[in-house]
Amino acid sequence: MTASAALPAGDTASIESLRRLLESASAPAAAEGPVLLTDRLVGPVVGDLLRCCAVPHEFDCALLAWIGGIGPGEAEARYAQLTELSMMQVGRTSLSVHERWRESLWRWWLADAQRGRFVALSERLVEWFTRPASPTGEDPAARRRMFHLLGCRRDEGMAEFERLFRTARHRRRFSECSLLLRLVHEYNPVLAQRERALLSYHEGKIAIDTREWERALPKLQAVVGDVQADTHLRINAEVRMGHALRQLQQVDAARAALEHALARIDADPTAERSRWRVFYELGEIERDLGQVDRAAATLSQALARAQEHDDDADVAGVHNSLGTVQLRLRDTDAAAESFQASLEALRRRGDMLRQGTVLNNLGLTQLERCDWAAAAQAFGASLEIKRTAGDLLGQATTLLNLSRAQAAQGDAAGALDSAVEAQALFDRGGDPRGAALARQARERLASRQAGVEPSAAADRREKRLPWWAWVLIVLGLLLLAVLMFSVYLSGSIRGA
Amino acid sequence: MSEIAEGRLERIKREKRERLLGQFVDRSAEMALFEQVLDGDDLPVMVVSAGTGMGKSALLMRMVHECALRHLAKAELEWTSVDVLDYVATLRRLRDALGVDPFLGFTDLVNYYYSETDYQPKLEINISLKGGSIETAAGAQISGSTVGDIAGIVLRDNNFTIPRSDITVPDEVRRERLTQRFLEGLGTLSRQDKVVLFFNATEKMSELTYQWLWGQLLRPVIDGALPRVRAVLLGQRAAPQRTDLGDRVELVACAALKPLEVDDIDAFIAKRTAGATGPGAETRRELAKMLAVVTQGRPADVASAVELYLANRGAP
Repeated sequence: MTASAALPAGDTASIESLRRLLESASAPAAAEGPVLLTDRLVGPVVGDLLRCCAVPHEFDCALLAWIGGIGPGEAEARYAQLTELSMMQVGRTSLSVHERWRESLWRWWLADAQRGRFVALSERLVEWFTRPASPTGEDPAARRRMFHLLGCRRDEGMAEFERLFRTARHRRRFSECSLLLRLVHEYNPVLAQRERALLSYHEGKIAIDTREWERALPKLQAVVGDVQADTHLRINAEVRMGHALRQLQQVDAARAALEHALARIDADPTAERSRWRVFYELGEIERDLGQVDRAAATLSQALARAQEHDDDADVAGVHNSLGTVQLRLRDTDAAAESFQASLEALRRRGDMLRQGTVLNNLGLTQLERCDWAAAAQAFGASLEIKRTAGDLLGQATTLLNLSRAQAAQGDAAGALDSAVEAQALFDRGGDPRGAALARQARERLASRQAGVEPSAAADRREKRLPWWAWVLIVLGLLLLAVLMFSVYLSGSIRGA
Repeated sequence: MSEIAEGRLERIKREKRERLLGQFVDRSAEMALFEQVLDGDDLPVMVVSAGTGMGKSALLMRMVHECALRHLAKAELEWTSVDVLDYVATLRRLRDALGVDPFLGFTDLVNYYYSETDYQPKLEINISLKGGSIETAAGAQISGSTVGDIAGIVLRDNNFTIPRSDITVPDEVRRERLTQRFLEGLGTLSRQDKVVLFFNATEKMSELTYQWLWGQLLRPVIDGALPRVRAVLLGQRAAPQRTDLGDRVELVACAALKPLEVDDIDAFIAKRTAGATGPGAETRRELAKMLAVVTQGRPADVASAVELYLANRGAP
């Protein structure tokens, strides 16, 4: 397309020149397109500075002076000049190159031709963002330092990413985890395959943490299927896949994934420390399928290996799961020991939240043992934790259990109060089945307390036959007996 | 940097914003929809979706300016590539933008959840929104509480982001309670003034934050429990569908920004070069036609191309 011939020659030439410039700069093969455009916009000197500004995500006047190696006066003038450009987004205290432009400039910086300068610039930015950690826990400087460390010392950068990611995940700051992943992904054009697999694994892990099982699966499957990924990573991904599949009730697929992980561990002795995780998941599958004997054996193996191989193992979780299986097997002594061990492990870790669940399970074990006082104590402790946590349905379940212990101890009034509160909480929490169970318990207890026979017993009596029906049945049987005797007698006489 | 220098740079930034407002072209349909959102009751939430460089931030600037002209209380949040804006940070920033006083209950609770271990809540407030009352900070030791009377109390947010370890509150419970406390404050504020919340660059929100935004923060806005609150979301994410919101999707105004056309580009060039020695009308028209093809009407590319043209006029 060319400009109109009716225009002044100079105007036509300008438009045509601009068209050629825009088309050549945006052509797919135009590696130097960003240089061409920025130099033509502000000249080669400021153009070079402008291109440097695309490496950090945002910059203020001080950072501009740092990356440009210029004095404060010149930095101020350049900052003012850059502010005027339409490609600059003006933030509260900083400028940033508009994403539309930054994308192409960033790709240009990652190209081999710019490697030397990019590494040097990244080093300067690492130095800039190396600061003491923030006391509030929110540390953007640390994230930015990690980002630029990836640009100059990749392995250190990835290690820093894993450190920050682990900390954020431990603090359950999942938005920060997502942000860290997004930052590393900016280096996708130059990341090694194993590094990309690591990112996929972490994305799957976060999806599992937030209970997005379906979102987790493709991420983890990609890692499992990636032959270039680290073996341990593939094993861990397979275990997590098994967990997600189990949550989605795809038990056969879960079991297959876990058995595949076991086969990988068998083939690689260095992966032995991951075996307990596989046994843990398998044990829970077996428990859920009702295969309690097998589950007990598998979880016992998981526990032994966890204690032997992995200091970070979730021993508390395994103990608790084993305890639930032992309870189903009516091995109450073993179950109580398991739950106590779980509590000890949780207390050592300072994990109070899960103690509520384990205490409830311990209470159920004490109920089985008919140790009502111990059961009530465990339920009471569980309830306190769940109340603080605001766990409505957890409180409701524990209250219903507590009600049983109280009733067994002869505290009818206490038991009734607990059942009433449980029903109210089940209603609030939107659990109609729980509410129905609580209502039945409440009615039963209320009847006992009022001295009226329980309605169920009354219902059974209502279903019994009246006295006259029994009389008729007896008379009928007598008549039948008489008839049969008569037949027998008449047969005997004929025979004789 | 000296204060004089800082002041100069601030002035330059302010002038740029004003200039950009003056150069605003097209988007009349989107602004008309926004005015419908502000003035009516049927569409309390608006979603503007478009790819990068399509002018979302420019439209946001125009909308914020409209709110300023109408003296409406407003808050703008923008997600970036380097800052974590999870639900807590979002609520904190909204509070700071709207004014802290109506949100003392929220500040009190956020300090309780995110602090050194010895902070105890100063206020005891039962939240009452649609769906019944909810007890908050259950299990806390309330000292010197002033139930229902919070005037004259100053509470400073410690801005910690790490939950304290000595109280056992799961994330989802903490999130729900803090959101409810915040919404209580928003309800108080919006009884006096209409309030408009802007959320920009939603594509940079984490999935968790995005779900919280629609599922908890904006739910009462859509449901009518906060009838004088409006929200505008701008970003590259697609507008929510019926599968996401159910029938509530009818209460969300959606706008997808389209490329600029030749007339719009012509008008932009005229505004951009007003007062300076700009191209004549015919040249401007030809330039606009060329740019409509080469830039495909993408506003960011149009603006940069016009800058290039002005910088290189006469150059080979």
